[in-house]
Order: sequence, then structure tokens, then C-alpha cells
Amino acid sequence: MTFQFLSPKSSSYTNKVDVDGDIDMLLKTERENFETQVVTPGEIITSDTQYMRGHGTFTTEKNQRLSSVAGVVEHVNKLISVRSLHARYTGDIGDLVIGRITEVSQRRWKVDINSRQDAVLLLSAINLPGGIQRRKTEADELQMRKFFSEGDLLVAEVQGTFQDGSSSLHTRNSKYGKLRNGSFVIVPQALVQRCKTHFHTLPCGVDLTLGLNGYIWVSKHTTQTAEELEIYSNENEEIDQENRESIARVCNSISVLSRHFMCINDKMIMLAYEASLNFLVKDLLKLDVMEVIISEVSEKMTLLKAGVRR
Amino acid sequence: MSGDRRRIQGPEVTVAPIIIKSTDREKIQLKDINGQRRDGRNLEDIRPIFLKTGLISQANGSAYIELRRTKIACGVYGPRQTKIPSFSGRGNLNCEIKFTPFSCLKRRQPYRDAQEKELSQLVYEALAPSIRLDLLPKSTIDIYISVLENDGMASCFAAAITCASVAVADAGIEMLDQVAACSASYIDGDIYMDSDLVEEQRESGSLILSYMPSLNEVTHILQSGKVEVSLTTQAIEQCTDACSKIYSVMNHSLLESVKNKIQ
Repeated sequence: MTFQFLSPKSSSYTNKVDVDGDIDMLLKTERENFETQVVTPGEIITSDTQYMRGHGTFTTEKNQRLSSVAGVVEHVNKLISVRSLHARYTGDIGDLVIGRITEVSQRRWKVDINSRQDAVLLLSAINLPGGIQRRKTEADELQMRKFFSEGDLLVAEVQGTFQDGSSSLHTRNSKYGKLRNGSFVIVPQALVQRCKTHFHTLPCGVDLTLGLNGYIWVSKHTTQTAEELEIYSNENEEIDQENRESIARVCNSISVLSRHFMCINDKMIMLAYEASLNFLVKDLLKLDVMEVIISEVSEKMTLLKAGVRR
Repeated sequence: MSGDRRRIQGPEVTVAPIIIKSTDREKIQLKDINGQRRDGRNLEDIRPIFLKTGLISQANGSAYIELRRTKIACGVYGPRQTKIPSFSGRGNLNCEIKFTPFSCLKRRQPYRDAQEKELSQLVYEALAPSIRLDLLPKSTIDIYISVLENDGMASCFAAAITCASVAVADAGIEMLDQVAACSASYIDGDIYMDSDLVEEQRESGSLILSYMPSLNEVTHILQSGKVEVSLTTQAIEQCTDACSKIYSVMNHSLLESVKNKIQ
């Protein structure tokens, strides 16, 4: 009698191992079901009870998992969540955000960060000019508008989140603080990807700060360190014509990407910037020019992706 | 004639008003011998729908609906912080419906009148059960609906609810289900689904149903006029059927907008 050894049935599982070393536990058929599944509110995602419900879903009495937003189904092993493309930003600890002061109140500022609720920035969570380390006194409380007043833009990090969906910010880093010498762009929050760094200096001599809340700051490149600068100054520096033009070009390139709903990171912005060089800055947002730029960017993207695979 | 400018001065010559006799209106045949209406629909058919999201770029979500001559745009702003500081564990929903001055047969005033206030309240009642306001403490959602062309008040109101619900879904706000709404008119013992202005002028009563198709729940029902119970039940059934059809259009337009973007 001869025995035949059969290889374990691996074909039914995808068994993908991701960067963190997590093994995909889904069956191949299940995986295919969930790949880019697009749902609308009230649609049944699955009737299978083994799945946990995440954001953007709810359960009925029949134990069905229903979607509560219109968007793409995301799947992390047994956790199902639905990500909406237009939802407002919800803060996560450690996120870099750009915000605008809406209100100065007792010992705190209210900051609009494109979230459901305005975020708070406590007086104790900011750096003093000159980097002095001390407790904030009542004197500081009285001159809070000297640090930030209504309408000021700032870059900060999310320090914590509250039950009602609001978050608290801090600027206790020399990179964070008031923004000046530049231009402000708003894009849908879903487009900005979480990266290792959100501060970039583009080769065209422009500084770029990508807020995860969809707010972007494009400014003149500075080589000065924070200690040399007056960090709470409201005065813009002199920006020459060339710099102004490249700032405007970068801003418009970002707008072009966001109007065509392409993801936004420094590489994509540079691709769009390079593609835009054949046109005048003021023409960039014309429909036909946008088409040309976008087709060029997506062409380069596919080339880059193919290069990575090789 | 040096006049007192505070008095309303009438013209010096008077002209007899032109009166359209009601008999002229009666003469219009609403349905022919085959049971077809003036625009070729059957009694239980609704008008074809055009629905598109993402019309207003600065709004968080928006939608535009067109049912032949009924045209409505809707923008949703928020959820954002409630301006008046009062603590509430639930979110606020603020609905405003606005008829543009040129939308109706008679010119509308640009300011908010009593009818707009009433309709705004009704839109709120129809939409509020579908939105998960319990997840949005201290926040406000603003829904602004503007009617660009009005072809029958009941059908316009139903279209406004449908349009607003799609706009809310487009804004990425968590909701239990989308609300589809449909109207029906009672004319001479018949039920005319989704009636237009001419049919509405002849109706003896009407019914507007707001319905969440995938949860199979009614959020709002509004009936006016005097009708038999049996006719009402029949109208509700026909409206739920029509709502399911509208729902498929709503789903389609939402899916299209998402799919276009993720490509």
C-alpha cells in the first residue's frame, strides 16, 4: 500500500503577511468579497456574526452588519469598518494638524481643525518664545492674544481626544507653532496620507506642511532655526516674485490633485508640479489644463509603480 | 395730485382682472381611455429621476435632484460645533427649505415665509430618525435646500427629502438608512402617484410618505384631504413601492460618486 502525501491546502487562504508580520486570516473567497466593496447607508455588509463592527457600521437585531455611511469597506482581519470619503476629520493621538484659531477663552484657544468640534489648545500646551521652560502664570493668561489671536493659523499635534469627538492639541515642539510666509489650501481629509514626516521641503524651494485634517500650508523655505525666529510674530517676511510664483504653483497643483480626488503626498505634489511647468500658474485650474496635468501624473505614477515591482 | 406718500396710491384707471374660468381647468383630461396620464405615465408610475451628488464644492455634502420640471439643490454643512453654547448629548439638525423667487407660478418673496417654515419643520421630522444624532454630541448639522423649480408642492416636498437624504449621505454623516420620499394625489377616486402641478390643482387630498427601504421603516407620513381608509392603505402601499424604486436611484448615484473617486 502506498501512501501519498498531500500538500496542505494553502490555496484557499491568501496567507498574506503584511509589514507588521500580521498574517491574513481570511479565506480567499472572503477576501475577494471585501476587496473594494463600496456601500451606501443601510446596506448589509455581511450577515456573518464572526465579524466585529468598526467605525461606520451598526448591527440590527438579526445580527447583520449594516453600513451607516457611504464609502469603502475596510477590513482588518475580523474587524469591518466603512471609510467615508467626505467625512469630517476625527483626531487620533499623534496626528499632525493645521488649524485656525476661532476663539480665545480662559487658559485655552479654540481651534478649527475641520473636525466635528473645535479642538482646544491649552495655554500650558504651547512653547514660550525663546524656549523658556516655566509654568504659565496669570501674566501669560492676560497676554494670550500675543501668542495666538483669532484667525491665526498654526500647526500642532493632537495630544488627546475627548468623548464628544473633540481633541486637544499641543505645540511643544520647535517645528510646531504659528504659520506665516505662505498660502493655505484645503483638500478633502481622506486624501492626505499618514506619512513618516509631514514637513517637506520641495526641490522648488518651497516648504510644505501636510495636515492630516486636510489643511495644507505652503510657504517660503526658511533655513533659520526656531530659536532665531520670533515664533509668535505676525509679520510676513519679504518674499520675492520667484518664490511667490512657486508657492502659487504648488498650491494650484494641490488643488488640481484634490479636484480629481488623487491622494496627496510630497511625491504626488512634485509630479503634478513638474507636469504643470508647461503652463502659466493662472491657467492651472482651467479644465483642459487640469486634464493634461492629471493624465501626465497618472502616467508617471503607473511607471513608478511598475519600477517598484521590478 | 400731491400725495401722501404713506398711502398706497392706486392707478387712476381701473382694468377688470382677467379671470381664468375654473371650467377651463376642468376640461383638461388628466388621463385618457387607456389610463395614461398627459405625459404618458400610468397612474402608478413616478417621473424619471436625475440625481447627482457633489454639486456644491464648499459644502460637506450636496445633491441635486430633477424630476422633469421639479428641480432641487441641497447642501449639507457639518457636523460642526453648535454656535450657541448649550450642552446637549445629541446633535442638532437644522433644516431650511427655500423657494427661489422664480420657482413657482407666482413670484415668491425672497424672505422666509410661513410655508417655508412649516416645510422646513416637516423635512426635519422626516430626516431626523434616519441620522445618528446620538453620535454627535454638541454638534450641528445644517441642511439647506433650495427649490429651483416647483412643479407641484407635494412632489416637490418629497423630492426635497430624497435629495437632502442623499446629500447627508454624501457628507459622510452616520445614518441608519437613507430616506426616500414619494407623494400621491387622490383625484376622482383614483390615486395619481407623483403628481405634477396640473394634477395637484385637481386633487381632493394627498399623501406624502417618507420611508427607509432597507430597514423597512416609515419615518414620516403626511396626509391631507378627505379619503376612504381603503384608498389610504392602497396609497401607502404604492408609495412604499415607489420609494424602493427611488432608493435604487439614490444608491446608484451615491455608489457612482464613490466609485468615480476611488479610481
